[in-house]
Amino acid sequence: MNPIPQYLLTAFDASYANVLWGSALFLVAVFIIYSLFLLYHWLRYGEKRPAIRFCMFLYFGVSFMLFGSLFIALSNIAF
Amino acid sequence: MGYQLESNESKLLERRKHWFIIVVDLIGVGILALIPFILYGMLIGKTFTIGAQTIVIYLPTALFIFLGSAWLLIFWMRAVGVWTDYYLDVWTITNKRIIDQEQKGFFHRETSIFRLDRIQDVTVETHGIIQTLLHFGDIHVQTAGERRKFIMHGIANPRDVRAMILRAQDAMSDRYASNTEQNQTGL
Repeated sequence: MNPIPQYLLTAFDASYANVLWGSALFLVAVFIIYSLFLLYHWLRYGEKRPAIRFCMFLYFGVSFMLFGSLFIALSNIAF
Repeated sequence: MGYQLESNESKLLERRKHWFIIVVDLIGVGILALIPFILYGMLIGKTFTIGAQTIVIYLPTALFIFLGSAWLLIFWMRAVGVWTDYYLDVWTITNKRIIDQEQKGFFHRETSIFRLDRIQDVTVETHGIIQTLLHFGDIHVQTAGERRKFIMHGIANPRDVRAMILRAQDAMSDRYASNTEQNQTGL
């Protein structure tokens, strides 16, 4: 096994799957908080403009696609 | 919105920064997002020897997709944040005031309002070949208020905007003059 991840697993006493799932869930938490910040600003200052609405749809659409591929890949690695 | 229109006040113009500015910012984010993929494409399959260890650059497909999706997601969030910051910076010119709304970061928004009758000088500045060819630049506005000078950076067609400010200022002066005349006649 590659020495660098082997060291990380030993140092944190974690399994490979736990590290990946933990990283994914941390990313979900960061995404939720960041998205709430963005939504607040869009709704407060966006003045219901079409560009803001388009951006909202695009942002959540692309984000969910990326999350989909992330979790599908994760389930293939560590399930 | 951050401000209320007064009675008999109407919007004449609303402007954001020139599109070139956001494109440059987004290209920067895009390049950073793609660097790991480019490096991986260049290094895949190559062998490195460190001491007694031989390291082969390789990632299983599922792990590559996982890491790639996570990386792209982070930079996608950043790109949308950059666009939001750009879009929420607005200059509004009415027949009475100039309103400068600037989003400086999350939960940091600055709204400055300058009355047209307080404006003393309007200067247009265009730097370099790109600004000249794409017709954008800075407008420096000197006022008689507490904040003596404010600058609109990267505004499209700055000469037209300056002309509009000066026309609106002249119209405001004419309105005051005619109101004063009517009041004096009334007396």
